[in-house]
Amino acid sequence: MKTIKRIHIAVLLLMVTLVSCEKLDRELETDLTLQQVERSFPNVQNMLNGLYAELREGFQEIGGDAMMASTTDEAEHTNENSSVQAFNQGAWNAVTNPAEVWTQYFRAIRKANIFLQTAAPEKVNLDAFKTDQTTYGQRLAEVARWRYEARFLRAFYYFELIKRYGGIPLTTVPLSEADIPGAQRNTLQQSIQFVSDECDSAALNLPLTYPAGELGRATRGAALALKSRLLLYAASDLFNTPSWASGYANPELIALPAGDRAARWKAAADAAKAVIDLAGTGYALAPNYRTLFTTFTGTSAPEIIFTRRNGASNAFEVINFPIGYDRGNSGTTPTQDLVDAYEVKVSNTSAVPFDWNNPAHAATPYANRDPRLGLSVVTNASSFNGSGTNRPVETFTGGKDGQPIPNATKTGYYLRKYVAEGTNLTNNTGSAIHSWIYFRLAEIYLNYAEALNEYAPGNADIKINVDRVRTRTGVAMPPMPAGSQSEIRQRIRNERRVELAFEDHRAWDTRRWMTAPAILGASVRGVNITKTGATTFTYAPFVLEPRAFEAKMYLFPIPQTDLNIAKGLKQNPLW
Amino acid sequence: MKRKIAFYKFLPALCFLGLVTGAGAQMVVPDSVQIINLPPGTEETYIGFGKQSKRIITSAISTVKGSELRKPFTNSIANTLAGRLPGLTVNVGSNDPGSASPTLYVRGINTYGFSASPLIIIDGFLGDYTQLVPEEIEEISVLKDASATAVYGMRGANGVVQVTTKKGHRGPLVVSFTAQYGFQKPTALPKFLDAFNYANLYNEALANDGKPALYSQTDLDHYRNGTDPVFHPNVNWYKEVLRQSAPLSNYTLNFSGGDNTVRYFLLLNALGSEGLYKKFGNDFDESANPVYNRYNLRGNVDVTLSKVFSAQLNIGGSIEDKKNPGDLSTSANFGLLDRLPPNAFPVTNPNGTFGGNGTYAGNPYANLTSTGFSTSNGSVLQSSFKMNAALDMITKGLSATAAVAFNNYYEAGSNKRKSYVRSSVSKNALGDTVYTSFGQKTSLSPEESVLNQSQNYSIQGFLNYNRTFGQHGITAMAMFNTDNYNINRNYPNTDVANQSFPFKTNGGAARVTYVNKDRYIAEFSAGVTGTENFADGKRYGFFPAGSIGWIASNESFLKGSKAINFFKIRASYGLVGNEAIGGQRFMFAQRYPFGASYWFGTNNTLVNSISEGRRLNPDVTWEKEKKANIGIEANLFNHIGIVVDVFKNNRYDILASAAATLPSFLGFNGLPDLNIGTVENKGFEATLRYNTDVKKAFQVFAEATVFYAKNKITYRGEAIELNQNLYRTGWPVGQTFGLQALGLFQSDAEIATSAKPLGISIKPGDIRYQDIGGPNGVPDGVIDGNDVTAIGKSETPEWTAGFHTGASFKGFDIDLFFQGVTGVSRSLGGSRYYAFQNNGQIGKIALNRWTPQTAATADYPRLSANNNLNNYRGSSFWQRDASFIKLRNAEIGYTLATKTMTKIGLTQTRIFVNGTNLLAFDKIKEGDVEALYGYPALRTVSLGVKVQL
Repeated sequence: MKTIKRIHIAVLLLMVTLVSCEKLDRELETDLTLQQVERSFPNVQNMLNGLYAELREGFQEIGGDAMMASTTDEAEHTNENSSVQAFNQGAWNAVTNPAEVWTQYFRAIRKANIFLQTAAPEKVNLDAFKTDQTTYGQRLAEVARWRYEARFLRAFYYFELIKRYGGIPLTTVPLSEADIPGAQRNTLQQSIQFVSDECDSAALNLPLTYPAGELGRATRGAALALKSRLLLYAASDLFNTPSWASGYANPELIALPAGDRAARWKAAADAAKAVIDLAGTGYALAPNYRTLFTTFTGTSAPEIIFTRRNGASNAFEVINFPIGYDRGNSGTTPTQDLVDAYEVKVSNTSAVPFDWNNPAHAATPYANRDPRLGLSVVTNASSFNGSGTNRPVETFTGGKDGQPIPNATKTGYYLRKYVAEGTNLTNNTGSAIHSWIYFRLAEIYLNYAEALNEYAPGNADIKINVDRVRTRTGVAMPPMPAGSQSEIRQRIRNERRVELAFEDHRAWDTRRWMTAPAILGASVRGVNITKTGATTFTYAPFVLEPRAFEAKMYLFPIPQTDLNIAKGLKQNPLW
Repeated sequence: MKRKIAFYKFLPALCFLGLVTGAGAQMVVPDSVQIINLPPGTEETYIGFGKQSKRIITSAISTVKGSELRKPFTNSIANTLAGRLPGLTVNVGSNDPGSASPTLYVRGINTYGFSASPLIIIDGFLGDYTQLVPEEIEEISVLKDASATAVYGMRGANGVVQVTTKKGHRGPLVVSFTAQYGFQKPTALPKFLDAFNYANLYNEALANDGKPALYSQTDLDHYRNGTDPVFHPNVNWYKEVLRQSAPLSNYTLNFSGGDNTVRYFLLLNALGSEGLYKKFGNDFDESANPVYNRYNLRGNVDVTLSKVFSAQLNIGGSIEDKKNPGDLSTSANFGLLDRLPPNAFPVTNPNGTFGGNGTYAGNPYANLTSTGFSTSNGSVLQSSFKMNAALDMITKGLSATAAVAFNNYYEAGSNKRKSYVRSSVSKNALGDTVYTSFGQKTSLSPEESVLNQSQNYSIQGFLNYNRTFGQHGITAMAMFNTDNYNINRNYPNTDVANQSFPFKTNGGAARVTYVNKDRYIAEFSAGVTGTENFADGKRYGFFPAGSIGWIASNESFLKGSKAINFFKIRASYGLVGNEAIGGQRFMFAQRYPFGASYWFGTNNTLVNSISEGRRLNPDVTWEKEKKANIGIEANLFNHIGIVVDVFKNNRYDILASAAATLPSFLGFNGLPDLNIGTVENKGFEATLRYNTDVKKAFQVFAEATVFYAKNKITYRGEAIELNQNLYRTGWPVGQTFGLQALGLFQSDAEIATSAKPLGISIKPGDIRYQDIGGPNGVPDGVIDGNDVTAIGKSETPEWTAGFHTGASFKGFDIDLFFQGVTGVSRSLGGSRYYAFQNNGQIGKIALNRWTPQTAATADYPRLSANNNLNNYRGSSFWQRDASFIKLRNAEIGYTLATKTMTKIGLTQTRIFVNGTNLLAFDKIKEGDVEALYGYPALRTVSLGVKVQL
């Protein structure tokens, strides 16, 4: 008996300890699950906000400090250690690409696809609003609208990929690891068609305008503007001339099938016209070309069709203030090439190109210029107000903002466009809201004029629309004179160049026009300024830096990692 | 003479001891003489969840007795382990009292995953060994191969350091008291130049930068002659705040003994260490003297309740009090001491205010005298209770044990702080002395805080079986274990971000050992462990290991051999895991965190966003390692012992980047880390011992150990690099990477034709680097991140050797322990070595700088008063071979003749002189190779006495 009792005690002992060995599981969960997100109206709204937050702001596009302008003939970036310099040396490839956006835009597309699976009116829990029929109805409509905002954004992200890579893998559902083996690039035509259809669909369902508190959301105008730009690119030379990559096995990835170019140009023109003709939007050119880029409300608002919103910050000023202003770092400095592109206004009816061989031009190069020069570029002796100092800028040799000060501008110019003058950086107290404009009315006018000139040269609308841009209040340049199709083409291109300078058009325009080898491959110039008197200077342009452009750079290389893993993806030509 | 002094000093303690009635005389061997059992007999050693006779062990285990660890006299047990255990690499931690945190690796580094640190087990349970004192430790064993560690399952792969505390044994009461008192001195202090040399070289640096001199000849004369200590001070800041030496003391009192019913070991230990700061508390009311005291208590009691039941209670605890003037941590002060030039400002100004200026954040002297003081109070409780039941009535040899352990750790801070005014002194245009004040004087204000805490409990249940059937011996064990951390700031090997949730592991283990004829041994062991960190259904892992051994010396052809007394060959192979994988906890579940903000509306209203988080890894699992080990143990000619082990570890399933595994077009918001990494580690350990006959009066022993471990990352999932030099794969874990220096530029012509960094003006005397890569994978003439490559070795040594020797003769004994490492590199950096950087000072290291005259022999770049971005960056130029040989400890003792002592009731009295870190041989002349930054390494000389009754 005693033995048995002991056994009982021992077994009991073991039982007690075994029972205490509880099941393993998480004791606390602090993370949201997808179910928790999708059942909550504000959480779903937050998901959509996350989709907007993927919009890139072009102010610090490359390496955290440089603009895309510095990869073109528009500008030279001052910081020699910025990764943008690799771009100018041609030192970019499928492994190292300072301007790579493949990862980010596919992430954004995945977010959109997840959102579209999540945000269905039947899924989102609106019980809290059911007590008030009006609010409930509004909420239902909002959820329905969100889907089109998401589809517009997804289309936009796809377009950003298409313009860099050509045909890309299209998907409307979130991909998983299982999709790697079957992944393939869609043809360029499929890709463009997809984005175009999505724009149509979004345009049908998005509102023309939003109430003040919702300003910044995608509108019908934004969807149509995206379509305008997309079709303009689709009609341009690059996507219709696969011969630059002769021998490439998959021309369908980089070019549209041979077809009626005129029809493509017409489609582009029609798409632009659709934006221009869109009633009820209040679209109008801003009367102030300077503040258009530093504020996004008030008089600027009617011109802005879609913009990447931002909080207040002075990071852009820290990077781009002239070196002589407290905490300035020179940043993006416009080249002489860009400065030369601004016309000289001879009279109210006549303007001529700037010409260094013209002694009058060369002696006072900044006199009587297209006002957009002074509004976009800080030239020597023009005044600049920053960090509590308002004085003429001295980019002449030996000046407060000129060589040989370390990190002073190498071109002789500083950036004015976008820069919030008056920001006080001294105590890091000043800041300003920087909105990155993706679509504005002036571009649409120029899109329309360009497309029209290609299939219907001489159409009166060409001059009308170019002149709208040239004669904006505060710019008031003489109207565009008549000319041959080719002359008008050059004029429109130059108009685009000066009107849209630094707005991340040049890199893509020169590619789609296939002028990039001559333009992006050419050396950029700066100007040496010598002070000869109290307010007198002499100017001598010089070759600043050779640039590299090879044919393969028409398109970006698909990242090597993706190619190595997803064997179905094809690299772009010549990379 | 010395004996008298020592006795006098400890008289109060002896009086106390006198009150305790002594027990019968007993033969005690001085603990400085190591007795090595030849041949291994029935002596048992601790293995995972049990004990085993050394003779039949078939796994790789090395052990050290607690008494050995007493000999390096330091304030941290962790630092004493260096070199003591073959296979245990110790990167010695700071000597700052109470802040030692050495890193331990068993058989080198086996993973680049989150943790390569071994599991620490105290008396069978998870615990913290750093608070223990050598006097309460019976043995520390390092479990190295699969056969030894598989029972720890998912936690064993990094090896196990198992600490066993002392127990009472059947026998009369033994009371033992040890007192040890000594002084600690820095082994090396940084060597900075005085104000004259500083000023002179600063002028040179300015000239190199193309700037005019700052110090005139008059200034220099003042500095040289010390004629103007106010406006031309020359302060040795180290001397101002540090004293030459600081006392260190340790007192231990323990009782042990027992009978058939109760056996006990009781211990009280008091450790006191004062640290190197001067005793400012004596002169400044608002300061305090630096103090570090730790009191350890232990009571280990075994009770035999009946023939069937027995119980065991282990309670160990410690109270740790630390106080420092100013900050609790000394690192900020040492940082300032390293930076502050000797002529920056005087210690105090003529008007009594503290010297100071706006460039430097403080005055080190004022920081210690006038900013109050900080204290921390830590308490540790480690306790366990075991019940054993002998179940022979079920079947002979069967027993069961149930055990529970509670550990608690809490450390709170209590500070009384204030700030002070410092003033810079200058002369105005009229020649009047003008003071400019910086900072503000405040009154003492209290700050209370929790610095650290953890709380856990564990439960274990065992079934043991041990029986011999004729020639067949069988030992078997089966157990289960659950560990629960409720509060886990201190959870082993977790990253901070995830520490706020409870941790739990469940598991079990089993082992069967079969011995045939005392010749052939086979053992199978296995662990099962599960943690909630992995997905449901994927939480438990199974870790088996097998080993075999052959005691050849028991075969008839060797039996009785005079040459070979014992010879065993053994081999093991198995699978062990490592759950400390790092990364986000619960990464098997997809998270939807809040993300980047956006702005809407004319008022630009900020809105939140939620996005899918980093891609989940539903299959996330633990690291695994296949461990193979072959070893031999031999005793030859009755005096020589040899142990050799050769191992190969293959770690896999290391959580690694998915950059080369998942394409980015899938759009994941961050690729998950995947269990794809692999590391291969190979090496060996060898021990050779000699000792004289135990019976001889003159005894000598010597033991030499050497071990080597070299690992290689074989897969890391790295993103593609065009520059092959950037890949970490193929190199050891922790390999140092940096630029490859090619010496110093000698001429403008050389600079013009060489690669150099962009945006920096390079001059002769600057460091020239090798152009290895570029954006297109070929040298591009630019020195930048593309040129980084593997340089030197890692900071963890490949080779560690120990040499331990001692002798005894007629009561005298001597004991020496040397440790050496090689295959290790360290880099010099920061203010102590980089001259004038960040307004810093200049050390002797810069004396042989580059100048046009010294161009041929210079070994330091040209001086520059600017922050030179070319010269002072990670490169082979600043890297040094960090090999060393150190005399870790030396001890001479004398044991008084027993006859005399027994008359006054003492069975044994031993007096000893001990030295720790007495000698070092290395290749770094700038400082102690193990303390190139921060708090200095310490040399200790002490005197001690041990009495026993």
